[in-house]
Amino acid sequence: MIEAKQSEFLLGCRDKLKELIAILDRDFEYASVLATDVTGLTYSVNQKTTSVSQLRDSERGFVVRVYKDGGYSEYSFNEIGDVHTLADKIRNNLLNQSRILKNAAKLDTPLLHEEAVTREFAGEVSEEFYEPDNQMILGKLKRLSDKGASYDGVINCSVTYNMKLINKMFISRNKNLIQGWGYSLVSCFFVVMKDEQTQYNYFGEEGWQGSDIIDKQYERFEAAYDDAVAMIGAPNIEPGEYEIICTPRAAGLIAHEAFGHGVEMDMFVKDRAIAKQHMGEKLASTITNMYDGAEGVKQTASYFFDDEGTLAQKTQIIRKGYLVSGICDALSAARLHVQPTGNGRRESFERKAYTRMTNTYFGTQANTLEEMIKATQYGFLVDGVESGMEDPKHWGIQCMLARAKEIRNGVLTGKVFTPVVLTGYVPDLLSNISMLGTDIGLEGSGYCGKGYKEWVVVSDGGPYLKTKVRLG
Amino acid sequence: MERIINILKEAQVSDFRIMEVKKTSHQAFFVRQFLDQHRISETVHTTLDVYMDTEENGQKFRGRASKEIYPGESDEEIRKDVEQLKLNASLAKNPFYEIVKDEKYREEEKDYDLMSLLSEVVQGVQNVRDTDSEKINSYEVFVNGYYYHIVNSQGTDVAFNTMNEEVEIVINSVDDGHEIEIYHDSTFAGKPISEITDDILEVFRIARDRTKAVPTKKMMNARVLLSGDFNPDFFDYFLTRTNSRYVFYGESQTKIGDDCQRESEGDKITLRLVSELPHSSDNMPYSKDGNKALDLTVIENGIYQNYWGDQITGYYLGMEKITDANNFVVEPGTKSVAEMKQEPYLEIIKFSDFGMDGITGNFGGEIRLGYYYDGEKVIPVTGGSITCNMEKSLKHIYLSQETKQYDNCIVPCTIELFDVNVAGEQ
Repeated sequence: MIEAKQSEFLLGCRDKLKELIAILDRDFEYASVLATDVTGLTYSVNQKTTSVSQLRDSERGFVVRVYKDGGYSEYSFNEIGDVHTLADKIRNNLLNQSRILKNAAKLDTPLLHEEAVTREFAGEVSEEFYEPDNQMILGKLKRLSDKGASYDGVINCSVTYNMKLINKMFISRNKNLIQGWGYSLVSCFFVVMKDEQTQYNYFGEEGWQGSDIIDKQYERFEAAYDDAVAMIGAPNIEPGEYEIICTPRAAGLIAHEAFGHGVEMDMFVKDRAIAKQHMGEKLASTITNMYDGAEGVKQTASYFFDDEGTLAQKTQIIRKGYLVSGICDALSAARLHVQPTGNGRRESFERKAYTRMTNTYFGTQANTLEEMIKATQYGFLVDGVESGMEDPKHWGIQCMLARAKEIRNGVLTGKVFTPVVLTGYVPDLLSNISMLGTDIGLEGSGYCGKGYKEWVVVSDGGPYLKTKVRLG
Repeated sequence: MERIINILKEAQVSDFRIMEVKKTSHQAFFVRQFLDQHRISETVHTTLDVYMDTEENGQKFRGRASKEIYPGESDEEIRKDVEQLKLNASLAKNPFYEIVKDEKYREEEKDYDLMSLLSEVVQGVQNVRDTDSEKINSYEVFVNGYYYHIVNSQGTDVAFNTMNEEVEIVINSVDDGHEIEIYHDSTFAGKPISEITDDILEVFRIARDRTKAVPTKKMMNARVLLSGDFNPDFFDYFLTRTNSRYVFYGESQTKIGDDCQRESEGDKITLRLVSELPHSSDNMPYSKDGNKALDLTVIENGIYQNYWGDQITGYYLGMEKITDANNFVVEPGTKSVAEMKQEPYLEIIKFSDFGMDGITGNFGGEIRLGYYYDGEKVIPVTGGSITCNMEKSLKHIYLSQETKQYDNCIVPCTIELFDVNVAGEQ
């Protein structure tokens, strides 16, 4: 592993962008620019085709934020050209649009006050990110795909490996920040057909490492294949309330949907989150701790500063069952008169910044999975994350899970139900947490939307977790 | 674009495709009726695909690699990109396929007045007045204009404009101190402003009913009516099953001529792709591969008629006509909504998040608003969930005679399902 290099493209733009901000500072009370250079490759191999292409999330561009007469506006672009011409264009376009929208009163927002800070951050990356051995990587993926396809009934096995290098720079009157880091991600997806019924399963891993991550996946096929086969023809679960044990991935989905979205503080500004009225209250069992932060773990949603130039933090959301903090972007923090937590994130330089989760997870306790199963009279071990949705206004939660494995009298019976809709009231679900495992598993291959758009990479997880909830 | 083509000619690639998209977006964000912020985005994205052919034992292979060529890149940087793409394409050795040949279409770039349009759409939302019980919590408006220019080395050269508008809105409703919210997102193109206002008033009605909703009861073998903006997702199942990518990679086992409703009761499904639909945000006359958008019957009376999809997998499957699916229309059924509502039912209007798995056919979600009719009265309900499977559901299904347009599709207003288990209060 080596220290990530800073983007030559960004460094090459720095002087022009400083000049741009200096010009805009004359006309606006605040001006900043975020510049992004995200590069990477996606390698895909299945039993029919192979591809090597630019990573879907790759981007190179800029977003300027300005403040005038009590309101913020932004201009996104991907070509600088002459700085004075660009400054004129930004100023004229944004002021024209302000005039067109003049009938709407502005949401009261104080001017951002930024402490002076100049810093350069570099994460660790594998050397191969800069000079990848494509042939070697494709060879590893082919062997992995072939292994998956060798199982009885598997129609196709698609394996994908992503290498992503993220470089961002933030410049304002007081801030001059630049960062570089990268991560890799491997995923395996296979379709199995038996008795004319089709089922699929997937697994993967991600982290701040290189293509070694591919090698670790060979041994995971057996269990994934067994799960897929067990789901073929499996019945639906009888609707009802049950004791459940969540795998770390399922626990992560609950963390994300329960008090992840529920404490995004831009929702506090809109009065869309009930958590605003319950800060400091006990809403979970005393063994429950929950965190969010780009700092503290090395996962896909880790970074050094966010898309508004706020340094990353680790925020404890639940401490010993008490809701102690939300997470916040810079503008919402200014409106709520609190400090931002480094959670201002954009889907891309072309989109608005919102309060977004980063790496969200439950803390550990001392129970083993075996102890949890033994402690279950009748219930299920739930796994296979598909999707989730929250209702921060009422603490409703919906999680779509692939399967529930039956537990009777403290023993897994081998019977599987699919698919599973987990629903409930967040404080009930969290208050019912009775056991937590010893090791945190984080999963970061997913994207999280705000509503049904604004997709950003997040990771979530936790230890194995035992609670009680409604399944259907 | 000319500069890139000249460099590609020097570089001796087997084939290439260049897609240039000029995108302009104007956006406004409101908290209640206060302007949170507004944005403008003006970008040009140029994607280059390079194809490299090889031959082994008399068999021809083709590889493709893609990359965005960023504005401001020098000739030297583009040459370096092309060399890397040639190398990557050579490694991705796949059975040979042809790229789209000799498609020609030219629209001049339109100068949409998106700033004024943004103001008009905002006005459409602001025309809605809060009531004593319902109010607008927050909303976001996006108006986007695109100019596509797609050129390849086989004589295809198409250029066209598209645009769309999006309104995302959150409505609050309060009843006796109990406040709820309804989230609504709609995308469209050129819809009359009065319809934007009417859509929001309809969301007000849904929100009002949700405040009066009681918890959904657990039910076994219930008759369930699906009547919401998730109805298009229900029919997406048939599009997934006939998508050439899913078929080629084995994720769909659908064969042309298969009857997915053999020995079934009720209405048969007929779904057609249509190249153009008024006010759809998906009226792309050509696909990104350069294939012309066509009208195509995907499924007729339950029998699969045609696949649709991209150029590569379409070529591999030997499809005669290759077209993308932009807009679709599902034929109406035989029962009116009123007929469907004569016997007890659970009608679902809003899910928290409706999920349809096109591979397994599993679908369902948590009920955010439904109406339960017990034979005497209609009661708004909330909470609980349904979990179903398409294979089973298609054996007994009715579609309403009435249809409704949701952006890029026209589908029956109501879908009637039988023997559905509903998770809810005991």
